[in-house]
Amino acid sequence: MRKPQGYAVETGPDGSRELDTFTCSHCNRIVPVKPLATPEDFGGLCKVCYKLVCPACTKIGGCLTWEAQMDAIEARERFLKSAGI
Amino acid sequence: MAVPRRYAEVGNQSTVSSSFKTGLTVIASTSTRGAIYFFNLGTTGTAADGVLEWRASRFTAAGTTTSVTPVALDPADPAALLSAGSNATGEPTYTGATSLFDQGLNQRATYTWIAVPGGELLIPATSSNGIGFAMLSTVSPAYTGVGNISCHHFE
Repeated sequence: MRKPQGYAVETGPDGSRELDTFTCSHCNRIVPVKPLATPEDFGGLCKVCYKLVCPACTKIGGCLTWEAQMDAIEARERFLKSAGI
Repeated sequence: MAVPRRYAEVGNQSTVSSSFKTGLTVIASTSTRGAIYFFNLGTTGTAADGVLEWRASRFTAAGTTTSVTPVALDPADPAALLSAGSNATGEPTYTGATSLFDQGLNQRATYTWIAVPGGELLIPATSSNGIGFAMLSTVSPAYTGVGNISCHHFE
C-alpha cells in the first residue's frame, strides 16, 4: 500500500510473512492488505470521511466514524453520571 | 505539542481451550482515551502444529482477571490511567460483531502488528470498556498450553 496505517509480521515454521494493514475508519477493525490485491477485495473508500473502510462497513454503507461513535459513547456516560445512574 | 505517554502490558491465558478465553484486557479510563499501537501474539507451550484463532474485541465489562500494571516506556512518566488484566477466569462482556482482529495462526507462529500514527485501535474514555485479546484452539492437535500477548498503548 502507498500509505498503510499498520504493518504486520507473521513468523512461523514456513518462514515469515509481512503485510500492510489499514484500520477501518468506521469500526476501527484491522484489515490486512495482501500484495497486489484489488481495491474491491479489501474494502472501500468512504466518500464522506474519505478514509478506508473494511468490507463489512462497505456493505453497510453510510458514514459513522469510530471517532463519532466514541464521542456518543462518552457523552452517554457523562449524562448517566450526571443523572446519578 | 504534548507527547503521548506510552505504556506496555503483558498478559497470558494459562489454559487455551476450545472456547475463547481472554489473555489480556486493556481497560479504559474515564479521564482519557487510550490507543493500542502495538501487539504481539505467541505461545510458550510445547511446539506442535496446532492452530490457534486469536481475536481482539471490544468489551463493556472487564470480567475477572489478574490485575496487570502497565509499565511506562519512559520511566519519567507517571502511572498509567488505563489499566490491564491477564488470564481471565471470568470472561469480559464482549460486544457482538466488534472484532477488531481475527486471525488463525500456527501454534509455532508469532504475530506482530504495529500501527502507523492514525491507525491505532482506539479505546473510548468510558468506564469498564476496553479491548480484550482472546484465543481458542479447536483443530487437532488442539493446543492447551499458554497463550501470550504483549501490547503497547498510549494515552
